[in-house]
Amino acid sequence: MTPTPTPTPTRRLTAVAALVLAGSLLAACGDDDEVAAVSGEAAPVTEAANTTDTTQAEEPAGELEVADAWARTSPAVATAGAAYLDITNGTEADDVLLSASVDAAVAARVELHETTAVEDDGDAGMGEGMGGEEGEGTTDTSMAGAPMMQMQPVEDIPVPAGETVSLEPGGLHIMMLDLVEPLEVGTTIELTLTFEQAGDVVVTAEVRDMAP
Amino acid sequence: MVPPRARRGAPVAIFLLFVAGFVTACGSGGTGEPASLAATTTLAGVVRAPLLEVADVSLPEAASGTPMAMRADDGELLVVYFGYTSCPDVCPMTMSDLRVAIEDLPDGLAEKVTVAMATVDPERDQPETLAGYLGHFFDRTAALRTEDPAELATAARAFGVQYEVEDHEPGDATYDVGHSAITYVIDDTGTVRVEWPFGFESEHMTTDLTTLLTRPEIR
Ligand SMILES: [Cu+2]
Repeated sequence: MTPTPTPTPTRRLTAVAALVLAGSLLAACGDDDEVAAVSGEAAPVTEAANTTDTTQAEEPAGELEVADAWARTSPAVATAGAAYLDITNGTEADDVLLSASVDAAVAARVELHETTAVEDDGDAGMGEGMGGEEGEGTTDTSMAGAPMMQMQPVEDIPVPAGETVSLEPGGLHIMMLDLVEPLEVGTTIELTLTFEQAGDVVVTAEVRDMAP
Repeated sequence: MVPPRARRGAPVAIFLLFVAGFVTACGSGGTGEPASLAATTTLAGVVRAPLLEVADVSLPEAASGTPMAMRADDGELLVVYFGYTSCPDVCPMTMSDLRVAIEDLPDGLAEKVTVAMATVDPERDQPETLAGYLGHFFDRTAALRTEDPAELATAARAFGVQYEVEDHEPGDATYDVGHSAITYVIDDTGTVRVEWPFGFESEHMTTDLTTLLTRPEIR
């Protein structure tokens, strides 16, 4: 069996740290993007503010803003779709995204999801191990494969005061299940996000076939 | 041009070479001198040592059932991904980035790249589904599918790909499938020349493909 580059925990930490470093370097030389998501104030996405319910009276400064919402489905089998957005909590209180919903005409169920890279849990072998896992005297345990990308529902998504949480492909996302019709590129859907503090925030997500 | 950004969901198996790619991209996208990865001798993605040989691995072409070896045509590249078409989050991202990467290739090179997707979900991915999915993204495609779990497992194992179909009732079409989301670039000898982790930037895919197609001597 050919050895696979199995990242050791240490190496992975290094890689993650390096990625963070790369991220900050990029932030330093990047232009729009991040900034647009954070600046919020005059952004065209502030319909969020209009639909926030009663609680803002006591908010001292800033508000919770949702920007850059978009959604995508698989082009072939459109039973599920994912929506992505950035949530910036400009308030001084921590908030939590509790749930999301869409009109029943769009999807029957909406869940908060996170895709994470999971190592072999011993249950799923290379190629799932349907039957012939121990052929040819080799044990699969000697060769860990690449981590699996796996989706899992999450209870809620914390948005600490002053921070931006990005829902993006391969990470946190809003999962629309049992789509009534395939999402069509170029159309929009309305998402209602329910926050612990900010209440309901309605955003319009553009259906796209690639990330904005 | 969208500036590259570190994606939160990028998997942990990212190597320093990969990071080096990001940093170089920063230089080329920012104010520094125009750096071109294509002009360098290194690849932006992950290069295994020793290189992985997969010429002996094959999977059936979905419609015909004819075995297809994991080897590109002469002077070309075969890009292989194990995934499934119902995948709402991970696969469309890789596929759309790869589409952009191929569209951005210098003239004449896109015709030398074939994208093969091996489905890890043959239950839902019927041959025409898989072919249609690939055709949505690419011109030159190979839809690979087997209903024999052992055959799929053998091919996946050769790459180090893992997958796990969520338990589901017969007829339930909403199950999820976890899978390694690495993209493999194979040359005409059946050698995996470079692999791209999930979240790899399309610009770097373009430069790697360009490097491999125009400077095949690079090892
Ligand atoms: Cu999901």
